[in-house]
Amino acid sequence: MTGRKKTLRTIAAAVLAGAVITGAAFAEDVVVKLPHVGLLAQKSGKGPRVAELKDGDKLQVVGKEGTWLRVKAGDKEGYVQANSVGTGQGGGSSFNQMIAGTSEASSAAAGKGLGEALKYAQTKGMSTAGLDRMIALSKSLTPADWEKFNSQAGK
Amino acid sequence: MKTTKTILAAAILCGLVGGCGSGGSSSGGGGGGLGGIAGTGISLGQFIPGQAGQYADAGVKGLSAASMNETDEDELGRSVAIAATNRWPVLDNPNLTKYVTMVGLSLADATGKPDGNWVFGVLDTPDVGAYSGPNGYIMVTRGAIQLMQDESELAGVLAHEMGHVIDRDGFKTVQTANLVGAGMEAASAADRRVAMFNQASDLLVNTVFSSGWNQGQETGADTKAVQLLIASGYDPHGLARFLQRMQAAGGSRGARPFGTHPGTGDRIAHISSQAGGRGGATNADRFAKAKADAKL
Repeated sequence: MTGRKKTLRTIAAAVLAGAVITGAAFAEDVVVKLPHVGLLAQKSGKGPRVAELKDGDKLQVVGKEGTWLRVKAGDKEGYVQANSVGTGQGGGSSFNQMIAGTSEASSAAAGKGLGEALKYAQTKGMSTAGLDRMIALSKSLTPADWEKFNSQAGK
Repeated sequence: MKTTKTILAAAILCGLVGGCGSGGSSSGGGGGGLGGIAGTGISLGQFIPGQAGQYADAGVKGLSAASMNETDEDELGRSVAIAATNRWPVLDNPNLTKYVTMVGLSLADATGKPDGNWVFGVLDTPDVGAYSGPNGYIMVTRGAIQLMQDESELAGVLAHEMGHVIDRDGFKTVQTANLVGAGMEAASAADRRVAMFNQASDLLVNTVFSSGWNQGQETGADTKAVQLLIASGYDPHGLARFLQRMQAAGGSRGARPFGTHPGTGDRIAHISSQAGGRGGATNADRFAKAKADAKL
């Protein structure tokens, strides 16, 4: 092996090692800390959402760019704001945290709300169908919708 | 290092709460934020990292000794949205809802929480109004959209509602209400929780749809709206133009300029002063097409 080839191999090995180290630094598990977070296709809200995440969902961080994290959620990958996630368990409901020791408190510990709004609606004899429809419509944007919307901007 | 990063990240977090409807209620508004959105001067809601990500509003009492957190706020926001969608049906027009949502999400980038729970809907009523619930539930009426003439007006109204969310006006209203009444101490923990939540929801629904926010909250939401419009490239005068049109329409079409305090004239002057000589996109053609497609 010539001296030059040896140098190139050394450089290549160093680059590879660096990539592995960098990857290892990003290979961090985090948990969604807010009730609902959109996994965005790009580093902006002005685009499709890859998935809807909820409090307690586990994510793998694969990159960090400013205030953004590139994360994997199962087989899906996208961006979330770094302040939407943390380590440990999810946020849960502090209504539930007040009643530690009850069976409901364990749900809070698991990072789930208990659907207080649903119970409120039931108490008042109100339907949640309208809200469900509003959420479904609001979260149903496709890349084609955004493409059309953006193509008409400035007109 | 990790702790520092967590604190820094959390300091940027924008609180998501709010609600808007008509008159005036308690005091509140902005709340000194720990961070801001670069270039916009927007002061963000207080979020102090603590156990389970709880908001820490040290001087704000009520509801219980425990502070409410984001999950509670989301449930309160859902209560407001449930009340709204039971008062008026959701407009059965997916294309218009998608359009309104995309305008709203275009503003969300400037809030610092583009990945947040922003849910936009159109209420099927000729009444002119717009409402919001904690954690990003934003609704505008069909009547309001009919009255609007370009997209910057729609963006202005949505931004005003998002301002209440950013300022966490609903959250503060509930927290300052001291909802744990006499006699509740004897109830079981579960009953107490349900009762408190229902009281909180009733209070917030009444604030959003009847009593309304106070002068400080409305002014704060208007200020945020102008900042969001500017940061998003919209004509920041859009909201003032819409308020003027609402004022001209008066009560004949159920127009209530979402806030009676301060007076609409004062609000228009405040918004215009803030917007100054700035211009921006109105996207009048895109708005007209969306309205025409929806037969509005």
